Amino acid sequence: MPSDSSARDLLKREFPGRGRQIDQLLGLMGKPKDYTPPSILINGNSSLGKTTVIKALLSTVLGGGGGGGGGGGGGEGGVAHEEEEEEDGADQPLMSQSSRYAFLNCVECHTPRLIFEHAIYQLRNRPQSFRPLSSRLCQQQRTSLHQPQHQPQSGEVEMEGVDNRGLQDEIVPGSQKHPRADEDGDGSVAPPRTSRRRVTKKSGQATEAIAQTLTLRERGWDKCENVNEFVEWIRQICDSTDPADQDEEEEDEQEDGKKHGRKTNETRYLVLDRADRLRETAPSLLPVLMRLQQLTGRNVCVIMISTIVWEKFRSGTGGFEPMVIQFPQYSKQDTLAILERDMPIGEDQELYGRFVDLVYEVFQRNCKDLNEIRHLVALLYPLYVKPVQDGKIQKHESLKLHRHIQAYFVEAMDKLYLREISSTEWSDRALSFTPGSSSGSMPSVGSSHGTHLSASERVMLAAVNVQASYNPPRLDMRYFAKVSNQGGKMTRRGKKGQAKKYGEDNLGTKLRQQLVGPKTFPIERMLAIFYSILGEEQAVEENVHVQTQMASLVSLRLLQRVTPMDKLDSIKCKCNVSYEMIKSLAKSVSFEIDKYLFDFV
Amino acid sequence: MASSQLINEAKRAIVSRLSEASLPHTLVGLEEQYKQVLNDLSKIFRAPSVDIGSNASLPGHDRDKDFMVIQLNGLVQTDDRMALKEIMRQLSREGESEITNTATTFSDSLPSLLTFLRTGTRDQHPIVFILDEFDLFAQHSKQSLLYNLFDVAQSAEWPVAVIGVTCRLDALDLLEKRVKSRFSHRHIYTFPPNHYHDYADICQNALFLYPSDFGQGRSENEGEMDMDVDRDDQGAGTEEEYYMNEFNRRVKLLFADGGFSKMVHRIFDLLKDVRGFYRLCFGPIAELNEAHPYLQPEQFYEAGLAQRVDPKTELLKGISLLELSLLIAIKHLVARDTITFNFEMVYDEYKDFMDMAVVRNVSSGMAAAGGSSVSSDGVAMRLYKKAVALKAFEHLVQSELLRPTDSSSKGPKEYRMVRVMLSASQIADVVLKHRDCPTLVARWAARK
Repeated sequence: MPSDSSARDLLKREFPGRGRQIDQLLGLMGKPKDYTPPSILINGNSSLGKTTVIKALLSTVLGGGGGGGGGGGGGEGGVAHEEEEEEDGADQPLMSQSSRYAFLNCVECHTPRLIFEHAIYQLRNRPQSFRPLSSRLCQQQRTSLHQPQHQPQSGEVEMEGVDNRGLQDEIVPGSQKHPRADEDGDGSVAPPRTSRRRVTKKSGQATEAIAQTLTLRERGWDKCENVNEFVEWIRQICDSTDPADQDEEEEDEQEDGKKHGRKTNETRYLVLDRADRLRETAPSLLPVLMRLQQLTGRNVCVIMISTIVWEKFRSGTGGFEPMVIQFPQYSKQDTLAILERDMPIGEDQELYGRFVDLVYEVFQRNCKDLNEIRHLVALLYPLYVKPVQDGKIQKHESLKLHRHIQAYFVEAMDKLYLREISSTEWSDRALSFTPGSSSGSMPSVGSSHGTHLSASERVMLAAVNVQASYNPPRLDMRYFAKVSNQGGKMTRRGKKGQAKKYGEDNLGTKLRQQLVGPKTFPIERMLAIFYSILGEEQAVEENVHVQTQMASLVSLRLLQRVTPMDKLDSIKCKCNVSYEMIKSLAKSVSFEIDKYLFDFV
Repeated sequence: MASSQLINEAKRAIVSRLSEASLPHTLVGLEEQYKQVLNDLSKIFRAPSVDIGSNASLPGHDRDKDFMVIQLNGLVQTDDRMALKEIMRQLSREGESEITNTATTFSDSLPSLLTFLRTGTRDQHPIVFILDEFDLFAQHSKQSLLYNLFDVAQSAEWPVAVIGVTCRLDALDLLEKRVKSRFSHRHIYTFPPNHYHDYADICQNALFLYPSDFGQGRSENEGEMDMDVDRDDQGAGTEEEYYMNEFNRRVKLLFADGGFSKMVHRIFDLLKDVRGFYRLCFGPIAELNEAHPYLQPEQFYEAGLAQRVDPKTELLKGISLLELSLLIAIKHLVARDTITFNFEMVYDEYKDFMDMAVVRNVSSGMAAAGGSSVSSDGVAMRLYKKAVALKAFEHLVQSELLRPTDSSSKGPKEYRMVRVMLSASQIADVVLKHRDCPTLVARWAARK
C-alpha cells in the first residue's frame, strides 16, 4: 500500500527519531474501523515530542473527518482515502462531518465536567479546518524564542505542498487555528462562560440567561455533568453516522453489525494530555476512562500522555492497564536534525550546522531538554556569527570562533534553565555587552528585591533569619547577654569550643540547622535579639515603629506568620527568605552576620 | 498466499478479542460456573432456552431477545439517582416501558419504576439486572436501589434476576441487614486459571482464528460459533480456510516454542491476568501483513522484554548529568539514614563531591579554567550554581521521583522536606545504564 507508507514517511520525516513510535501507533490504530486497545499511555520525559507526534498523527490520519473512509469499500488503503479526503477537504467546504478524535489538555480541563463537555464538543463538531500557512508565519515561528513547545518546523513546506497541511497546522501552537472554536469558546474561553451562565441564572436575570443559553445551544455546546451522561453521549456519538458514509454503514451493519451484535463504527480517539493531572482533579474518572471501551461498548480508544510512569496512576480496584508506549531520548543525529529546522532563513548551512553541533556537545550532558537547547541555540547563534558578520573572523576558522563563543557558553551554563530575563531582552543586551566583564552579558535580576527595605527593616530581617531561625535559643545568652566582667560577647575561641560541645554530633550529618532550614520562633525572641543588636551598634531610635515594620515584613511575605490570624498573643513567625539574600542584606547594613551564627560553614 | 483482505479480517477479529470487544469462543476453567449461572437463571425464568455466560462473558449474550438485560456499572452510575435514570433509559430503549423520564427526582421516579415492575406478569420477558462493580453500589447511601431491586426480585410476579459482579470477596458484608436478608445468597466464585496450561489455553484461544471471523456471507453454513479448532485438518478448499488452518497451526507452534512459552509462563507467574498477555499481543498482531501473514515467536520476544523493564529506570535514562548527580547524592544521604531531606542537604552533598573532584584534579594538574574540571575521561564537569541545581531538583520532584513529605506551601522551597521514591539499587542501575556517565561520577555512585 504505497499511500499508507507515504503518510507514514511523511510523519517520519517530520519527526526524526520517532519512527518506531509512529509505526507502533499506526499499527495499533489500524484501519479506521478496526478495534484498538482500550487505552494507550504515551510515556516519556518532557520535550520528547509526545504531544506533537500524537496531534500530527491523528490529524494526518483522521484529520479531514475520518468519515473519509466512505470511498474505501474494500477496507484496504484506508489511510490513502483519508489522505485524499483531506486534500479535497482543504479545498472545498467540508460536509458536516464530525471529528474522529478529541484532544484535551487536563490542565485546561480541570474538572470532570469540563473534560466531558470539551470531549463531546470536539467529537460532535467537524475537526478544525486547515488554514494554509504562509512561509512567513513559519519564519516568525522559527525565530521566536518564546515558543516553549517542541514543534518541529517543516523546512520543506513548499516541497510537500498540500499533503503537509495537517502537519503545518499543528506547527502553530500560539495562533488560533480553530476558527469555530474561536467563537465558541475553545479551552480557556469556555469554562468561564458556562459558569457565568449558571451565575446569571441564579441571580435571576432571566433574559440574559436565556440569551446565553440559546447562543450556547446554537453553538452546539452540550451539557454533560456526570459520567453516566458522558458514557451515554459517547455511545450516541459513536452511533451517529455521517450522511457521507451512510451507505457504507448499512453495508457494514449487514456484515459485521450482526455478527458482533453491535454497530461497528469508526474508532473515536480521546486524547488526554498531561493525564497525570487527572489523579487530582478527577480520581474517580481514571478507571472509567481506562475502560471506556468496555463501558460504552463502542469503538473508543483513550490515549493518555504523561511524563509520569504508570505505577503512579494505579489506585483502587478494577483498573485496566493501558498499553505503554515509551518515547525515548533523542539520539544525537535526531537532535541535530531537529535543531537544523530552526535555522533562520538565509544563513550559511555549514556554519549553522557546526554551531549546532558545538552547542549539542557542550550542553547535552547537563541539559536533556530539547526546548532548552533550542533556546540556547537561538540565544547564542547571533553571538556566534557576529564576528563573521563584522568581518573579524572568517567563516572557516572554526577554532577561532569556538574560542570566541566559549566565554558565552560558560555564562549560559550558569544560567541554564533559569530564564531570568526574556530572550529578546537578553539578545538585546548580549549584543551590546562584552563577555567576561563582571556585569556580564547575562544580567541577572538576582536578589535585587531586598534593596527597597529600610535599614532597620533589614537589620530586623537579619536578626530574624540568623539568630531566631538558625541558632538554638539556649545560645542566645552567649551571643547577646552583656556580661560585665568579660566585656561583651563571647570570644571567637569560646564560640568554637561551644560549637564543639553542642554541635559535634551534628556536624557530620546533614541535619545542621543551616541545611534543615529556618525554624519558627516567637516574635518576642526576635524583638529581644533585634534590640540587642541595635543596642550594640547604635542607640535605639525613638521613631522606629518596630511593630509596623514587622507587619510590613509579614505582608511582604519575607516573614511568614505561623500562628493563625485570630491569635494575638505569642505570635510565631518563620523566615521566608534564603540565607544568601540575608547575607547580602546584612552586608548592606554592615552587620557582621557570620559572627553571630552557630554551626555554620 | 493470503490476500491482504483476509489478513485484515483476521487482524480485526483477533484485536477485537484482545480488546475484549467480542467474547472469547470458549470458556476455559469456568465451565462449572457457567452451568451454575445458567441453572439458576433458568430456574428463575422457567425458560429452558436462556443462555447466559458467567463472569467473563456476562455482557453481550442478550441478543436472542428471550429476556431483557439491564446493565449497570458502579463506576459509571455513581449514585442511585443516576442508576435509576439509566434503568429507565435502558427499559424504554427495549420498548417495554411506557414510563418516560418526566419524573426527574429520585423520590418521584423510584415509585413509578417499582409499580411498573410489580405490575408485570409472569408471561412477560424476564429482566436480568447486571450490576458490575457491585461493591460500589453497596456504598451508595442507604442502599435503597439494591434494597428495592432485591425486593422486587423476591416478591414481584414478573421474573427478575439481579446479578452482581464484583472482585471484592467481602462485598456481602457491605450490605445492610435488610438488604442482605433479601439476597438469595447464591455465590458463584470465578478464579483466575490455576494451572499454566489453562492460562495458555485462554491465550491461545484468543489468538486462534475461527470460521466466523471471516464473515463475508460466503461461508454462512460454517458460521457456527463453537467449532472445534482441532478439526482444522479436515479443512480444505477455499483460500480463507487454508489461511485459517495455517494460522492456527502457527499459533500452536508458537506456544510450543521454548522462548515464547517461557515468556507466557513468566506473565502467568507474575500476574495470572490474561490481559497481561493480551497487551503483549497488540503489537505483533498489528505487524501482520502480506509479507508476514503469520505470527512469529520472534515478534513477541521484544515485546516480552519491553514489559519486563522498569519504567522508572527507562524514564531515568534520559535525565541529565546534573540530575543524576543529585540522585547519587540522595542515595548517599539515604544510605546514612537521612530518609527525609531537602534540597540544601542534597546540594551540600553534591558540593562535597564536586569540591573533592575539583581538588583532586587540581592536584593532578588537570584543572581547567572557569571552575570546571576535566575528569579522567575528558568530560567537563562543573559545579552548578544553586539556582540551576534547584531547577534540576524541581524537575525530579515534578516527575514524582521525589515526593514532598509535608504540605508544600510552607517555607522556602529549598527547605521543603522530600522523600525519594526510588530504591538505592534503582539509582545504581540508572548510573550503569546512563548513556554518558563519567567514570568519576560512576565511582562516586558505587562508593559506600
